[in-house]
Amino acid sequence: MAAVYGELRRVAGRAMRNERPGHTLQPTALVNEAFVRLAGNTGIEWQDRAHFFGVAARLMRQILVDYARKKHAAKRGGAARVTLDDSLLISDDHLGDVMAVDEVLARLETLDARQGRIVELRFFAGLSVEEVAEVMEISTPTVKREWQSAKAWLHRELTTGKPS
Amino acid sequence: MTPERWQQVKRIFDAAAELGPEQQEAYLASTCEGDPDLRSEVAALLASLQEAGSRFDSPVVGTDPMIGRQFGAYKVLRRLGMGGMGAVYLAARADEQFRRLAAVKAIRAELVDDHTRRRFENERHTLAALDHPNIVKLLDGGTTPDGIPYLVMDYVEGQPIDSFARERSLSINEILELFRTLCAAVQYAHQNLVVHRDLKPANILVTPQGVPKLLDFGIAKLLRPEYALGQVGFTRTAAQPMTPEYASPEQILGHPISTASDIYSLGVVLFTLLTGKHPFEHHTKSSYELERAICERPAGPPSAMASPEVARKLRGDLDTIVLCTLRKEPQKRYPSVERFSEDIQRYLDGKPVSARGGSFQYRTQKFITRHLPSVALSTIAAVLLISLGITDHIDRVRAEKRFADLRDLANFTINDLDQAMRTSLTSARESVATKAVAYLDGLANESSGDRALKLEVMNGYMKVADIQGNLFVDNMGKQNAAKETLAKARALAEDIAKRDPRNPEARAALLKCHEKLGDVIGSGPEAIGEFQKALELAPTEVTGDNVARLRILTKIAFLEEATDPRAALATYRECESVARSWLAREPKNSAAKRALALAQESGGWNALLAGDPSGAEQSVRDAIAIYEETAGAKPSMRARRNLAIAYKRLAEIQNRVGKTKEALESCHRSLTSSEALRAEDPKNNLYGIDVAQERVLLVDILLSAKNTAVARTETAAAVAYLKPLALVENPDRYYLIDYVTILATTPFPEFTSAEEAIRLATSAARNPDPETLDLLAKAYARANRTDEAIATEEKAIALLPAVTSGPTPENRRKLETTLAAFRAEPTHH
Repeated sequence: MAAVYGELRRVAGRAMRNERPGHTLQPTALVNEAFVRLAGNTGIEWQDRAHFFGVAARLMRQILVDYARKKHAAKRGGAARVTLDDSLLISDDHLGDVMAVDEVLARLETLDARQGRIVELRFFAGLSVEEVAEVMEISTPTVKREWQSAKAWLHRELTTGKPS
Repeated sequence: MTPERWQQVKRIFDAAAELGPEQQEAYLASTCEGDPDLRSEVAALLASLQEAGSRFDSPVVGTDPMIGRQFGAYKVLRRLGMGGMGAVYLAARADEQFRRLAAVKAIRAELVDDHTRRRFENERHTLAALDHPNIVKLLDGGTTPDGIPYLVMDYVEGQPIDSFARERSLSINEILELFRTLCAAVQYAHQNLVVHRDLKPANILVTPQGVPKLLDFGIAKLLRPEYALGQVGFTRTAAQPMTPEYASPEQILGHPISTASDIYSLGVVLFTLLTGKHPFEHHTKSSYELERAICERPAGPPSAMASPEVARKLRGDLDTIVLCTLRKEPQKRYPSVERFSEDIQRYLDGKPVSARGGSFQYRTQKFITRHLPSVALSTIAAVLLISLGITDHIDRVRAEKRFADLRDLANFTINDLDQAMRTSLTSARESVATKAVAYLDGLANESSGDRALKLEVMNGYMKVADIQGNLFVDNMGKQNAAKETLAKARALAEDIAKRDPRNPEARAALLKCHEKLGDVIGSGPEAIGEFQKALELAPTEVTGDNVARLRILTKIAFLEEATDPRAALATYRECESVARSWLAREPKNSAAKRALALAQESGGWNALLAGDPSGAEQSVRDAIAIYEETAGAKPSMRARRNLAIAYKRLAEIQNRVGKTKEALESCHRSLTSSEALRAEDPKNNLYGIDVAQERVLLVDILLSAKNTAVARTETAAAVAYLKPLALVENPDRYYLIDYVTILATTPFPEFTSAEEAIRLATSAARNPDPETLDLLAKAYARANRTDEAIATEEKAIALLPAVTSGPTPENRRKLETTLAAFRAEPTHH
């Protein structure tokens, strides 16, 4: 596990360093957790940075959703112990969002896979607009534009619950 | 909705979102004409965008309750980064009088138990005392009422040194200048007994003005004592593990961390700055692989990793400097950051660098292991303590007696002082030594009439001198200080001896002063002179309790051997007679027997060098007889090695007098024995070097015996043995020389490589001695570079002592013969 963890950290560090030296992946704690998932999956060979971040963001999303579910259950009196790293600072108002966004994002992904990934990287993996652009090798204005319409869509879906 | 429809919606939405509310209406009306669903969909999304505002914009893991919190006088503004120990925040002084910005490091409470919290408090004050323009200052720290430990430090706007160097396209010299500034900061911390433990580019920021600032000094130790234990860090899922990329082998292996670990990490940083690559770039598939490489693979030279144009500049001195920092064994690296930095400066000034120095080490090691055990026992103890560096054991000492306490020397007994000096850093030692001398000077002034105090002060001076100028530890440039201190000790000893000439204590003290002076001076007639004065004070009779006479005679002979075999021969003969009379008094004393054998063997060797081969043979045979007699049924490794070396010397002598058959037999005995020893203790270079020298000798003898076929096979075997040992990073000089000897002098063309011999011999001759220069000259001759061969051989001869009378010693004669051959044969092959 340690090796996979280190791998993830190292690749994350490397990937970000390539063009933007010294920039570390912000939600390190999230990557910390991601390795737990990857440990069962040691055969992964990173094809490129986009691939790495794709996998990492997906893992982070899963971790966060699990966490939110458990915490949600704990709040309602369930006994589930929340084991996630305490340095993951998810505020309670985000808690609902995590589960809900996960759900509606699945629908957005069927409509537009690329846009879905942008949301995943931005919202779950915590990358900035610029970082998303870099990782996905698309322009910053494109990410901004896509993010804007995704936001509008997500908000509407979450408030109206309207199915597509 | 279909994906196609969504793309259509998005297109219109994107365009409309750019417009003001009124234009949006008009735009939608015209664009969505005839498709009311499309129009209402886009309108709904536009309204939703308004409503959503900045929802989702902050990532789900970004809302940090620490924002706005107060830590001491500082209020958190925003998060700067997240690490395994906790988060780092930008903060400002809450009282608003100062608009000072600071960085607050909040440590995750669960990483700190009561014990470490207490230590945290203690160490925090030490770190806060670090005040250096290139070290980020620790401003404050403490624990919040709810138990979160935190540190407040200066906020530095800068970028990591590696990206700074890359973005500004710094030249090699600019990188080196910047790096030296950094070294000064690390050196400063080391002087204050603080080891960084986590030096890496991320912890070395450079401001836009180009000023490097070191971050997190000592923090790794402070917060994570287990950090030092390598593996433990990795099993902590919650904690960020140590980045192995810049970690030293001892950190990965969980061995004690010292200033040498920082030197290693600095070396990796310099390597990456110069080449843009990590020294183990090819082994970074996984952390595990990287860690193994760090611990097991010798680092290649930076030039091998750099682009061709950079590589050209790195080859040679910079390669050597960087590789010296990357050695696996901490004690083989630079002894201090200061020395590392000085070497960089020397490179910048175009002066020769000091990074090479294996030969002396080997010589002393050999000296200690082969000569009387009492020669340097106390010295060895000191070497051990000091070469181990600042280990955890010393950390304990340090915790109890911090350096600041040492300033009040009046409260210190001399023994405490001694301990402190032996266990602290070079520069700290220096400063303690200076203060100790002042303290002792004061005491000496008050000691009139008090013999006991005088003796104590004298012993104090000698201990300080040991630290200042001990030949067996790093002491460059401090010999003069040591000599001065010893002169003071000598004055006291002379004073005591004058008042009470028969007093054995006073004689012994004076003897010790002279002997130590000889040790400190180290070589040449001045050292020999001091030893001779010591000798006059030594009891004439050597006993098991007092081997001073024999020890001092051996030291004299050892120094003479380097320059004057005939004088050495005479001294060894005297050793022999002293040992004989000792043996006559104590016939069963095996130390006495060994002393006699060693004197005979060394004497025999010098007899050969001085031009008396037959006397040499007899002398070595006598030694062998004693070694065999004392070896017993189960000889120790030392006894076996003594015997192997004696046979090797015998073989060499026999070969020289034309008894090639006997020489072959002796050489085989020696080689068989050395190979067995090497197999039993493969890590001990002494045995490996013995084997190498004996293999080379074997080929020599076979060639003298005109046994060309076997000589060729044995040459192949010797090359196969030596090549992997000589062509590594920092090869032992003896392997290198043996290998070059073959390349440059073998009669078999298939093993000849003049160019490679020149290259290797040039690097070996950085600290020139006659033997290596002779070899280099032969390599030049092989390459038909006759002028250079002649010049180099002349230099070699110039290094030999002048001959004033009697026959020319063999070593000089050999060199002169070679020179004559070069001169006679301008196209020498």
